[in-house]
Amino acid sequence: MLDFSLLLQGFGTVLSGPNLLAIVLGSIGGIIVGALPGLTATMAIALLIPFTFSMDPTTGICMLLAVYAAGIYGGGIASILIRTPGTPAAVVTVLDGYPMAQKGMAGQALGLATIGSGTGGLFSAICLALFAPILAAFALRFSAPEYFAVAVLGLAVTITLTGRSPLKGAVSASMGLLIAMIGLDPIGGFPRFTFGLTELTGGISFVPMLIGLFSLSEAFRQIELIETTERMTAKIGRVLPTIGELIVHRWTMLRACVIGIVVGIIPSMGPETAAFVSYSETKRNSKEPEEFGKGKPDGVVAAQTAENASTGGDVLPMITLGVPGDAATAVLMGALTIHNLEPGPLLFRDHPDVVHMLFAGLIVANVAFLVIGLVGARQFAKVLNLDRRYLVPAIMLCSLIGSYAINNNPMDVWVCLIFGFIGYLMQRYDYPVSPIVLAQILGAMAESNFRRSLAMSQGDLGIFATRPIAAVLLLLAVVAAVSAIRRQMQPGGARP
Amino acid sequence: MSADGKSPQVRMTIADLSAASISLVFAGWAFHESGRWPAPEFIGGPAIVPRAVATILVVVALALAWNALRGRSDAVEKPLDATKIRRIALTLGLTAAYAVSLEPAGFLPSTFVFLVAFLHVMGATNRVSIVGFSILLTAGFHAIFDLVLKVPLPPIVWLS
Repeated sequence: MLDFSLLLQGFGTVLSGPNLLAIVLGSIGGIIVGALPGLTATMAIALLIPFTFSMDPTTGICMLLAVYAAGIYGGGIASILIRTPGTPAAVVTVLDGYPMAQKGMAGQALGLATIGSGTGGLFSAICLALFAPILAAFALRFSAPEYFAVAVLGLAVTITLTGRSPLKGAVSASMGLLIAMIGLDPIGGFPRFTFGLTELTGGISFVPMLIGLFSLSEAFRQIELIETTERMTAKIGRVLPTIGELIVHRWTMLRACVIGIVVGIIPSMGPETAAFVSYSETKRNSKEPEEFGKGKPDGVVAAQTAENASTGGDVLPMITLGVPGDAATAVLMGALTIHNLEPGPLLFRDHPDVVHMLFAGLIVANVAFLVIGLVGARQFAKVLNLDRRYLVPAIMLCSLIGSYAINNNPMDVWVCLIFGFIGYLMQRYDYPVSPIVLAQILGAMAESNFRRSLAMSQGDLGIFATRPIAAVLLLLAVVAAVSAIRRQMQPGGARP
Repeated sequence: MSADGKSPQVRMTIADLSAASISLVFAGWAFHESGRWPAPEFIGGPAIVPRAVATILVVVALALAWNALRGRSDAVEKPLDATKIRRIALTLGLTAAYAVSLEPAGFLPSTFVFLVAFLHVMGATNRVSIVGFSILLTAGFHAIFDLVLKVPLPPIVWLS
């Protein structure tokens, strides 16, 4: 149970001079790193670990938590302004954030994204502190069949994100699934589709591929537009949303908060999936689903709120069970271990003060980036006013060097370049890029859990029907896929 | 009709048929490769999911090709003219050259040369701006990655 006296003590510790400064600096750094394509919150945390060695553990942990929360939010800034997701999680924000910026609503998009992220993160952090034991128990019920069903549901959701043609979306998703299978077989360790190259046994580098598909492809696309269109002169306008605007989006935020936490708590599913599911659900429940992808503010709110709402859920299994929810929390777990704090049930028993300080730190970190994000949003928005002849090389260089910097591997530059050109061609001929990425994330998860399920049942597929949660999720996946295909194939739906 | 005299509808049809063909090649490759993998004791070996995905890909590719052949492909919004194709091809070549030269030549010289050439391809004409921007961006990236983030970028080997 949450100990309020320890939580207050935690707030006292976090709000002390050096720790608060660490949170402010971490928030600024997290936003900047998150906004830079190729630099993820995960990478920022990893890079920050050596800097925190010499710090007091509390100060170091505060800074890491701030970078984590702000880094996830920061990805949305580049998504909105230059159609380049700063982090993988911000892919969904591109869908409506960038069209909003193109319509001259960049300020509104940035404001809503900041409020959404801050609200989602704050809600999530409070829920983490309040309901950690209950949520952890819920996640523990999931086994291989349920994980497989969740992944299939996620894949079905991609069909709803495929714009006009579900066929093209299915091609992208299938290709993404095949690419995800390059490397070692997740169960037996058998090399697949590697051509005998040891470099491919780890699979295709995911982040360089992501940067290529979403960032470099945009640079190529911008090259087409240099002479044909004028400079972007989108008016930034007001950043701070009005109370009325926030009231309009209240249900979207609440839904995204719940989705973000639920998705985040499931190990291996983080902000990316939370944003995808939240966006899809918001689109499905909207009276104007056709407006999504064209600059609908609800899309930005749904994606950004869910992204940061998933952070509490991601941290939960890591902090309570020692099971990181995603790469960012895995790195965070490593950082805690370096500071002699072993995440898991024993941490709650032996260091309750530290656990409550972590809760307080995450809450304060979300408030910090919310304030800093709103104050500094207009500065980031100036990216739109850059001359494209200079902006394109900057995006190109940022993508290539960002890809290289992840593993210091020149092969990753080639991965970025190849997928960048493929992504450009896909966009040019109306093939959605998002399904290829989502299939990458969910493909490995689906396959490994599918095969684990079959191993559990000695090859009996009936296991998916006899497990209630898995059966319901798979049924939902079928319903989602069929209804999306039917809707999109209707005249005026799939082929407007 | 587009400026290059070809129907945009035809362009997208070719793109869809190309995508369907590539998909079929990949699916065939997946079937071929998975045939050489060890057979499992029961359903659930390393080949089951790749084959299932390849089967879906075949079905989807055939449906895509069928749609394209029936003239139901979407139109290309803005066909490319020769200038744009040339510019994109040059960018692709420059970027490939940069990827090749990054490690042997080092980050600083290769990036500076890449940016100067790239800006020229982009149509920038002011030499001072081109050189100034290239220096600033190269130095900026060096500072962010090498000095601030401590991510080592390729050094100038022949100097060290």
